[in-house]
Amino acid sequence: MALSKIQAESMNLADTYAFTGTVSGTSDLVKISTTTVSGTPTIIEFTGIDDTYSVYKVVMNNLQLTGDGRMKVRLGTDSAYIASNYRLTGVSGRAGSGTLDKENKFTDSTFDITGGWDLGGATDECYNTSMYFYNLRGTSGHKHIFATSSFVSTGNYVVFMAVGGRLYDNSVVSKMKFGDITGSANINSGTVTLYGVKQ
Amino acid sequence: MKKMVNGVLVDMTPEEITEKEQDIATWNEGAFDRSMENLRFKRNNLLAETDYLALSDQTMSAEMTTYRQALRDITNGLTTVADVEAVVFPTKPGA
Repeated sequence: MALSKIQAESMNLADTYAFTGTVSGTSDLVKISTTTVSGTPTIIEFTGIDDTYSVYKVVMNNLQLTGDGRMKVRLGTDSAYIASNYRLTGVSGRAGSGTLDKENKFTDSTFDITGGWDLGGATDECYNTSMYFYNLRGTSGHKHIFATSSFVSTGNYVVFMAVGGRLYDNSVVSKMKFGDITGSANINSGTVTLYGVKQ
Repeated sequence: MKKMVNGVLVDMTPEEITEKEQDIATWNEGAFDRSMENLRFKRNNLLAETDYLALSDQTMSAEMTTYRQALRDITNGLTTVADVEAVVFPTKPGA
């Protein structure tokens, strides 16, 4: 008969026990990997995207570049990164401008999630975002991104941006990378975390 | 060049460095086309704001006609990124 109860004071909690069961009731948002930036990398990359989760989330906290640049995202397969057919639309607002700007990238080589704004490279200019990725593993239909960001653009202006987009490609995505992919700025500091979302 | 993969700092491969250099070169080569695309996007939005004045039950003033023509002509003669960045949009007249 399988045990269903443990008698009080019968288990030594200082011991180590093997566990072969299944933990239930855990969170549906699972932290997969955290990168704390060091060594001024050119890009930050997450590999091992698989079918475990139907949606992936990336949070960037206080990222700071070595110089003015953009924050871009590129998706890749097991063999290579995909460098065409990224489309993006959305809106951005910059404090002090008084207007909302429309973002429209139709045939890009990355998701340019800072849109038309340069991300500032001064030590007090940083980038913060939450972004979701959908259908990364699909072989038909397209890979979508939705990102909301608050960052400081060149000249110390704060920018809010909300963008959605898609990668027009039927390949199965297994990795993603972030950074000033088409520019020369490296990443000085900050934290980037990859989560999986269960559905 | 370095990259961080799943939290670990590693050297980029020669192939990755070549890809990065090509990305930068391609991006720089497209600077004028991108600046023109952004200019047209903004110009088209400004034109759309006053499109309703071209409806048959509206009368467009001479100032508005001049303004809209100036918007249409705003890309004329631009050959460099500096040209595009120096563009000043015309002031919208009162409708």
